[in-house]
Amino acid sequence: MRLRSLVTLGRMIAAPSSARALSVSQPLRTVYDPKAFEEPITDKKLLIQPLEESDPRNFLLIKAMQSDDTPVFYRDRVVDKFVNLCLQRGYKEIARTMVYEALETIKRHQYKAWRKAPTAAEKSAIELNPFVVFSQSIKNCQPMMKLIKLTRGGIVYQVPAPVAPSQAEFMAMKSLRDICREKAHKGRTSFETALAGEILSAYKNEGATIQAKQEFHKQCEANRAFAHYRTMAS
Amino acid sequence: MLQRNSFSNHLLAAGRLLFSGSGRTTLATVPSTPSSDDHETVVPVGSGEGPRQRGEQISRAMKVYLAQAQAKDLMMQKERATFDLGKRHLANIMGVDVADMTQRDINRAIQYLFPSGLFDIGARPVMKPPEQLFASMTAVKFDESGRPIDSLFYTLRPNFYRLLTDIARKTDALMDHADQVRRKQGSAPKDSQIISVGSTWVSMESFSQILGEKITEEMYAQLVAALENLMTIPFAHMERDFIFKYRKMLGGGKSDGKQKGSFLPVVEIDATTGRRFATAFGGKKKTRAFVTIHDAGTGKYTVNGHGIDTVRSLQAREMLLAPFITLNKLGQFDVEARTEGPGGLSSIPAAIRLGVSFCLSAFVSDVERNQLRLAGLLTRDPRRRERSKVNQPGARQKWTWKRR
Repeated sequence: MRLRSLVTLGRMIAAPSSARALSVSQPLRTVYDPKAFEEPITDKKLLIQPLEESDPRNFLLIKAMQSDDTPVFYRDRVVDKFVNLCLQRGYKEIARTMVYEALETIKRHQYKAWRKAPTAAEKSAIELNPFVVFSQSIKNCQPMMKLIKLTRGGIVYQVPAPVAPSQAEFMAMKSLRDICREKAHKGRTSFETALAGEILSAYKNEGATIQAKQEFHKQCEANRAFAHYRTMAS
Repeated sequence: MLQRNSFSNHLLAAGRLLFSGSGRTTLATVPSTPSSDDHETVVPVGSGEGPRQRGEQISRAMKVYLAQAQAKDLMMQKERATFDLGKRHLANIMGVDVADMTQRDINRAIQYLFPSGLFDIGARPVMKPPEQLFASMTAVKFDESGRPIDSLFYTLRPNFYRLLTDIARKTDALMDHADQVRRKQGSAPKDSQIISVGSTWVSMESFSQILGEKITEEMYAQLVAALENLMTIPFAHMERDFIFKYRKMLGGGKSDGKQKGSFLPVVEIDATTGRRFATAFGGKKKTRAFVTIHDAGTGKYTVNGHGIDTVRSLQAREMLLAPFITLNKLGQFDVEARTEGPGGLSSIPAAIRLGVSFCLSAFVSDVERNQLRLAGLLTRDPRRRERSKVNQPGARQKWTWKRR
């Protein structure tokens, strides 16, 4: 009886299943389905403004907020970008601490200068916000041109070309970082000290980074004869 | 599936017989052109006999259909009886009353008694009522002369063609309406569009299920094209309900901030302190967080019994406070979080952040809840570590190509 019941059961269990076609599609590039997910709004000013009625974010899912994108009051796009550029082997906390310590040094330096300034006019000329100082320094370090490598007949030409603002910003940051790393090499000084000094100099259009930018401009100038290769190079 | 195939073949056979039976042709002359999916032979109705009258031919075709229907009925009765018996045995084995046994209990019992490690879900053992396993045979009505009343019977996919016809009629009607408006106004009609973003057409399988007929990819494309057209013409919103029967929402949020996957906890009142509190669960990767927040607080924040000041990482602190920072509610709630599972300086705060956001969403207005949603705080981060691939150093990274 028992055996029979199990046989009956087994027969019921052997249900027909529809054949599944072999998947030939590409593997998913992201778990966030691009048709179903939109980027989050992490700017608090934008967040309080009502969306348009036909805005897709009214109907689609929103991606989770990034861990380094919390809308704190000191969130600064340029500083965040620089932190990511200084990042080594994923140690974000270290990179962030170094950059913020440099900003603190700048604040102290500027405040000291502000205290010492005798007149109100001189006082108001001193920028006390280190974030503003930093972004202005980066702006000062941005090159106006870039050089593209082009190989023709076995000779590598450096072709000067106009640079997009985002790339110029990146080049400035990279140059600043490399110079600071070089200064802090083998414990000669700390990265944050070097960075603070460099930023303060760059703010006044002085220092190694500005010098590097000017040398780069000279290089562009020297290669201006190849500028007509630009259409082939890009 | 076998039943559905043979049934459609017979329909096919019947259709063919009936089509060629027009006029004074005899059944004997019907060319037997088996289609590619024919598994059964065409019923030799009246083959090798003398000329027959039309009425008789039709009734024979109908007979085939009726015989099929009867056979199917019998089969279903048998299967139903076997299912009931199996269910009783299962109840005996599992020590449950048969009357209380739901399909969920059956599934659980099958999973317990026949554990399967097969990857394909369709290959695992199942026990379901026969109505769900075998395609139902749609009842076809015939008139006195033996002809099917529904003229679309001969198309073999009556529901599909009926839907296409409906769409075409609705399209025509809307275009006529737009013409009338244009004639009245003397200008092109202005009309609010249907918002299509946030929803897609249901899949081919779902269409098959809705129609009760198997449809091919071409037929699916036809349907979608017709519906797309209907959706884009002026005054389409008049047929919104009809169109949205065949669209599925992508699960996005609404203005009140309730989106698919988000959880809105119930606000309770603490009997001793009289303060309102809510409890929620949050997660990230394999980290789990159980969060309770009390309102009318001072901003006290404990994670596994430790205060937020013991968290050195500033980024982790930011993440823990993110929901309150976003809604400018710092220092108004007390948070108590407990975490389980692995996790570090990113995972644990992310899991707690989700739990806190869910809790906070229960205390705030619809607008604020929508702000939490738009900031991405009500979404569980679904990203996981991608496995590395064979013959590659990483998940996507490839070895450098070297000639030799």
